[in-house]
This record gives sequence, C-alpha cells and structure tokens, in this order.
Amino acid sequence: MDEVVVAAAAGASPERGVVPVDAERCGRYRGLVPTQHDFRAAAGALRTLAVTAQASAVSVNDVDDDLGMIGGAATDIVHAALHASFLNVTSVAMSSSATADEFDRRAIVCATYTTDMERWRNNMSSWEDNRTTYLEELSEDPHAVGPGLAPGRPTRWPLWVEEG
Amino acid sequence: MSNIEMDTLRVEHVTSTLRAQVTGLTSAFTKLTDAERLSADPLLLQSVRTPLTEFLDEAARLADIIDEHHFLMANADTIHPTDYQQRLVALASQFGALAAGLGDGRGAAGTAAEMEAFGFARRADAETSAETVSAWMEEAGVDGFTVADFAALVGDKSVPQHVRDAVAALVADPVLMANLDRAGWHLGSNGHITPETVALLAATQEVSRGFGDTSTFDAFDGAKNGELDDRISMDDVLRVAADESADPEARALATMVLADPSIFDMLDTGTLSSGDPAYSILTLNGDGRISFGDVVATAVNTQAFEGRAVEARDFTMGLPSTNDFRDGTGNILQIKWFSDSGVRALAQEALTATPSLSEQVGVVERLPESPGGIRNLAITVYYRRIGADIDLILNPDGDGGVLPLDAEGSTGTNWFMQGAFASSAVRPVLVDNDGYSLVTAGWAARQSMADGNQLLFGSLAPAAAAFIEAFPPGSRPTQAEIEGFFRGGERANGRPLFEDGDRQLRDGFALMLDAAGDPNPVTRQQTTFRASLMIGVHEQALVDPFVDRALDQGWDDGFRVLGDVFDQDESIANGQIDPDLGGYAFDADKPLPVRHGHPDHVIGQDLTTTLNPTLVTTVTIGGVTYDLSGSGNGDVDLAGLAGWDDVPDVWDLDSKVIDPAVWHREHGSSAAPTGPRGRFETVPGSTTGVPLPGNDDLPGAAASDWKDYPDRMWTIVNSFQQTHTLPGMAGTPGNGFSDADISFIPEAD
Repeated sequence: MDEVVVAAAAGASPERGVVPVDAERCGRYRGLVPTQHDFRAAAGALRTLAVTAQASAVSVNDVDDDLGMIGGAATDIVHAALHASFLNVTSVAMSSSATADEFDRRAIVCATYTTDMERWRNNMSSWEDNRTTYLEELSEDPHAVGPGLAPGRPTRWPLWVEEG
Repeated sequence: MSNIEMDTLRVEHVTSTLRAQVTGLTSAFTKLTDAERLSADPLLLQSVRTPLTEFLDEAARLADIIDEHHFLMANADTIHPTDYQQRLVALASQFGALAAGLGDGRGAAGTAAEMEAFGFARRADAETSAETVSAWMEEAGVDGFTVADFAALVGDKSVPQHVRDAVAALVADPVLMANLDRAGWHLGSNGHITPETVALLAATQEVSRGFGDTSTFDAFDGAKNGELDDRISMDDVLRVAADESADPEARALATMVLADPSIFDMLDTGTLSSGDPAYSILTLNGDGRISFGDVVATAVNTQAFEGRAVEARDFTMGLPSTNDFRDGTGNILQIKWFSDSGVRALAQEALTATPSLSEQVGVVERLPESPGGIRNLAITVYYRRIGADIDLILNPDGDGGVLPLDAEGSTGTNWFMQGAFASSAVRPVLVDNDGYSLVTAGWAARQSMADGNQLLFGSLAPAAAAFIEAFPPGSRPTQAEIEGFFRGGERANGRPLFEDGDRQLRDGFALMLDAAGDPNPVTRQQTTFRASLMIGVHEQALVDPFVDRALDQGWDDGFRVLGDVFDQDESIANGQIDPDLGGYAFDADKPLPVRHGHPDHVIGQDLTTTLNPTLVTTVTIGGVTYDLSGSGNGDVDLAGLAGWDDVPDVWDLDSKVIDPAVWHREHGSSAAPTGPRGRFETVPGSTTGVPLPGNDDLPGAAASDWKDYPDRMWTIVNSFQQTHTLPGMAGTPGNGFSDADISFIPEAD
C-alpha cells in the first residue's frame, strides 16, 4: 500500500500546499518542485519578455532598413551584425512564447494531478475507515465483507509535476 | 571603410535606438530570471537566455562601433587631420571585439546571418601573411633579405610574434615562396625578398580577390568594347579607371593596377603560379591578357583568401563546376594550374564559414582540383559523411547509432557509401601515382577524371544533402513535405534539386525514403538496392563522356595507344580499373568474385526480375503512394543529360544489350573460372571462389570495354550486388591518403 506523505515545505509560497517527498529524489531541482501557480507565473513573465523582444525586433528591423550609412565595408558589417541581432532578438521572442505555452501546459497537468491527489486522499481516507470497520467486524463475523482493494495512487510523471 | 555616405542625424537615431533596445531588454532580463526561478527549469530556458545574452552583448558593441565610426567621420577635419589612419586604428580593435562576439557560435548562431556578420567583421581586420609581413617591413624600414635570412626571421625574437608567424607561414609553403620569387623576378630584385616584392605579392592577392568576383571580372572584360572574351587587357583597365560611372570598388582596383603594372604582369601569368620550380623567363612573359583562369589560379596559389573565410566561401561558390553544363564539356579550370597547398588552404577557409551540409557540398563541388587531388579527397570524405548520414536515416539502431550492414533488418548500403569508394578509386589516375609501367597517365586523362569526379559530386551530393536535411532520422514527413522535396526542392545555389536528366536520381531518393519506413527486412533491403541502381544509372550515364575521354587518349597523353599495341582486345586502360569496395577487390576486366552474405536478400537474386529497378513504378511513403512515372519537376529522361544518342532513356535490364544470358553468350567467352585470367579472386572475410548455386552468370560480369556504357553498367551492378551488405562498405576508403591528408576538412557536426 502506498503511504500518503505530506511534508511541510519550508519557504514555500502560500499556494504551494503540500510537497511529496518524491520531489527530493529529483536532483535536477535544487529547490522545490514548482506548482501550477509557479508555472503560471513563469509563463506570465515570459510573455512579458516576448512582447518586449518582439518590439525590439521591429526597432532593429527599422534601423536596418534605413541605417543612414551607404557604401563601405563598415556599412556591410553593421548590416550583417544587425541581421544577427534581429535573429537573436526574434529568437528570444519566439522561444519565450513557446516556453510560456509549455509552462501553461505544465500548470494544467499540475492542476489535474492536484485534483486527482485530493480525490485519492479522500478515497484513501474512506478506505481506511472501511478497513478499520472491517477489521472490527471480522472479530465477530468471519464472513464480514472486506473493503476491497485500496484506491490506486495517481501516477506522478514526469518529475516536474507537483501538487499545490 | 571607404566610399561611405552618411546621414549624421539618422545614424545618431540608429545608435540611440539600439541603445534603447539594450536598456529595455536588460530590464526585461528580470522576467527571464523570474521564469527560471519559478519553473526550476533553467535548462529549458537556455533557448531564451542564450540569444538574449547575445543580443545584449552584440547590439551594445554595434552601437559603440556605429557611434565611434560616425563621430570620427563627422569630426575628421577638426579632430584628426589624418583621419583615415586614425579611423582605421580606432575601428580595428572594435571590429575584432565584434567579430569575437558574432563568431562565438552562440545565440541564434550557427545561422548563416551570424556567420556572415562574423565574416564581414573578420574581413575588416583580416590580413594575409604577405600583408602582415609587408606592413612590418615598411614600418621597420628594412631593405630586404636573402631567402635564408628571411627564413631566419622565424626565430628572431626582436621581430613581433604575429610577423614571425606570418613569415613562418610563407616559408613553410614552397608555392608561396615561388610566388615571392616570381614577384622578385618582375621587379628585378635578384632573388632578394624586399619590401617591394612582398608588397607586390600582397597587392596581387588583393586584385585577384577583386577580379575573382565574376561580375567585377566581366565589368573589366567588357570595358573596352562590351564583348566578353574571358580576357582583361590593359586597355580594359584604363577604361574602367576613367569611367566615372563605374563601380567605385572596380575603379579602385583599376587605379591600383595602373599604379603598379607589375600587378598586371603577375596576374597575366597566373596559371603558372602553382609553384613549379621549373618556370623560366619565357614562361613569365604573359600574353598581355588576364583570363579568369589566371585570376582564379593566382588567388588560390597565393592563398589570397587567408583569414577571409566568408570571402573564400563566396569566391569558391562563384567558380565554375562541370555540373553547370551537362553537355560533356570539361571544366575550364585545369588541374595543372593549381597547387595542392593553395586548394587545401582555400577549402579550409571556405568551409569554416559554411555551417550547413548543403552549403558545404556546394563549396566542395566548386573547389578547383590540383595535381595532388585535394578536391578529390574532400569529395570522398563528403560522400562518406553523406553515406553515413543516410545510413542513420535508413538504419537507426535506436541508440544513436546504426545497424551493422550485415544485420538482419539493415537496408544494406546506400549509393553514397559506394560513391565514397568510387571517388577514391579514381584517385590513382587523377594523381598519377599508380606507376603504370613506363607510361603514366597524362594531363588529359587526369583532367577527365577530375571533371567526372566533380560532375558526379555536383549532381548527386547537393540532392543528398537536401534529403538529409529534409528527412532527419526519426522524422515522419508529411505528404506536403515529401511533395515539396521531390517536386519543389532547391539546391543551395537556388537551382532545382531535380531538373532535366534527373529522373532516375529523384526516383532513387524516393525509393530510399520508401525503404526507410518499410519494416520488412527483405523488401527494405531490396528497395534500397534498387535505389542504388537508379542512382548508379544516373551517375554512369552522366559521366560517360568523361570515362570515354579518360580511357581513350591521344599520343600526348597516353598509355592507351601503347596498350593497344600490346593487347588489341584489352587496352591497358581497361585493365587499370581495379576497384576496392570495402575490401571487395576486383579487376573490371576479369570475372567478378562471388561472396556469400548472411543475412542478405540481394545476393543470389535475379537482377532481371526481382531487383530490376525499372519494374518499380510506385513507392509508398508514409501511407501515401507516389507515382514515379508521373509528370512534374524532374520527370525527364536521361537523354536530357547531354544528348548522347547511345545513352538509353531508361535502364532496361530486359533489353537485348545487357540481358545477362545474351551478354554472356556474346561477351563472356573468356569468363570461365579457369586459368589465371578467369580465376575467382579471394575476398577477405567472405566465402569466395565458389559461385552461388544458380547464379553462374556472375562470371560474365567482366567488362571487355569500360568505355561501353551497358558493358560497364553491368559490371557495376554486379559489384553493387556483391557488396550491398558487406560490412567493410561502412568504412572509410583509403586509397593513397591518410587522416593527416584530410585534416584540412573541418570535422562534421
């Protein structure tokens, strides 16, 4: 039977709630495994960054169109470097936006996991009660009906999934 | 840094805009660090952090450069009376810093734009060894050196290190020293290396770079009368110099040449610059005209693109390829014009600035060839890389590697694995090191071998590179992507992937893609074999006139004539075709050895039925069936390759000419495995010497005339069949070269 582990999370945000000890097994996370709220906040920050980067890309493109310099090796260098800068800042915008989408997806997965775990805990609690009752009945009635299998714990995968 | 027009107000706006972006995104950096902290996944966010860091670094440097450049120009008269030199000094360090930032391979890097920017920045700061030494000699005020004293500078600690490095580079290459000697001859410096001789070499390099741009060359070529005759005369140079409407850079070149006519003389004899120590006064007197060949040879042999990677790439991509004209004509660039060291240096420089496989094969294709077969080495290496990449698409082992060729489920070899060995096989004739008794391969044969090698690589490799980039291992291409590749794909130079004459090539790739998704171990191997045959048909038809010329030479060039004296029926040239395919060695004019392979679903199969590629009319890729005989781009026949009447429209194994039974009856009389000429030869690692049951046609697979297309093709097809699952085919061919010989080629990603 799975053991329900609920640990206090030192330094956790108020929304964090409970942290399964599984999180400590994942060396990739030096801190706490993020919750749905963390992922939503990260996505929001990235979307702000994406908007800023996109605006910068437009500005870089504008100055490249009209540099105020024509001819000469230096102008070639400036144009080429502006192209590289445009690509970099566009890459920032696109990657920020794509990663924000990924974090939103993770937030949904975390929320689902949170709900599933809450339901499981309730079911587990009921099952424990039924099991206690069954054990009591069994001492008086050898034909007492048992509580059945314990409810299965929701799968927690991948490792970034967290309740909260 | 010359000929620049500037709108001061606009430039100031540009600078302030860039700085504003840097400030804005520096503030926005906190958003990224927030996201990293909250998500606890900085690894995933590296895709944001890296380009953001790069942008902040490079845009800030760029703003500084524009600001500095603009300030110096706008205030030159009041601040720096000699502003040009001041500006050069001020900008040089900044360009170097920008180049270091742009070329660090981070950010959106690796992209062509970033590499281009890196190249531009390096170019502004780059110097050839001759330029470095020239500047130092002028600055130090030295009179000149004997060759021995010049070489001794390498160990002279009173000389700056970068100058000693440059001297060492010159001294280490006999071709560069021969060109210094050539410059000295034109200036009458009596074998001494003077500031003038080094300066002349540097100036010659600069003008060769300028003329090496085909549009600039044409502008000079046609300056006098508008006619392009591949010759620049001094009159042409005068016209350009006097033409106020001419391109400023062209006029600057013209002015340079007029100021020192020795530059013209150096270029005029450019095709003699490959360093042959036997040149004489007679050979140094030119014809008063500079051909494009003179220019290219000068640029390559004097290593004019040293330190200029992007320019080297662009120059190389502008050179002619035999594949540009599929009419059987050879390349105008003759191998004897070029030095090995020059081609090696050009290749190394150009490939440095060429990140993608598609562009790399474009560079390799257009390299000039040299007597030591430097381009051939690069072609062989790239065939090998392409073969391995396609093998990874066809035969992934699920762990990042590939299945062994003789593993059950492997498709066996793809054509490019065969191609690496074929390219290596032409090397002995190309470099003339095979020791053909008293008579050696002449220039005509060697040129034809080089041209044929280039032609095939130019036709096949770009399509293969595009295939690899379009369908990486594990990808599941959509119908639109497949249609886009086979009907709308383009080469790096913008030409269609499959054009007139490329139907068999296109179908070969379609069959490979078909095999990649086929789980049946038998059919996936046989389909891949058919793909190799399709591509083999294409390449042998394409190269036919070059084979014909290489093996049928005139009195000046050849052993063929003497061969006919010794053996009227079998020329020496024919007997010199001795391929070694992954350890499977055979003489083309003797019966092919037989090998057993297990598991092998190709050996022993009938080439006229089971494996006949002309019976394939459709392929099924990703659940969609494609009609190989359908109309569309690339749906053309082999006649389009050159218009040779004797090349069949399609390769029909059922045709009378190469029906195995008929062929054996007509040509195979000497092929019985008895006697020294008809013996079965031993193949390492396989059971040999015993024909497979029911496969006794194989002894007929000996070419009586390698120049005869169907005769040659039949031998090739049989050799493909025998080596299709031979493990040695996954190796690297070594035919007269070592790893050190190919060290000029950058490592694959």
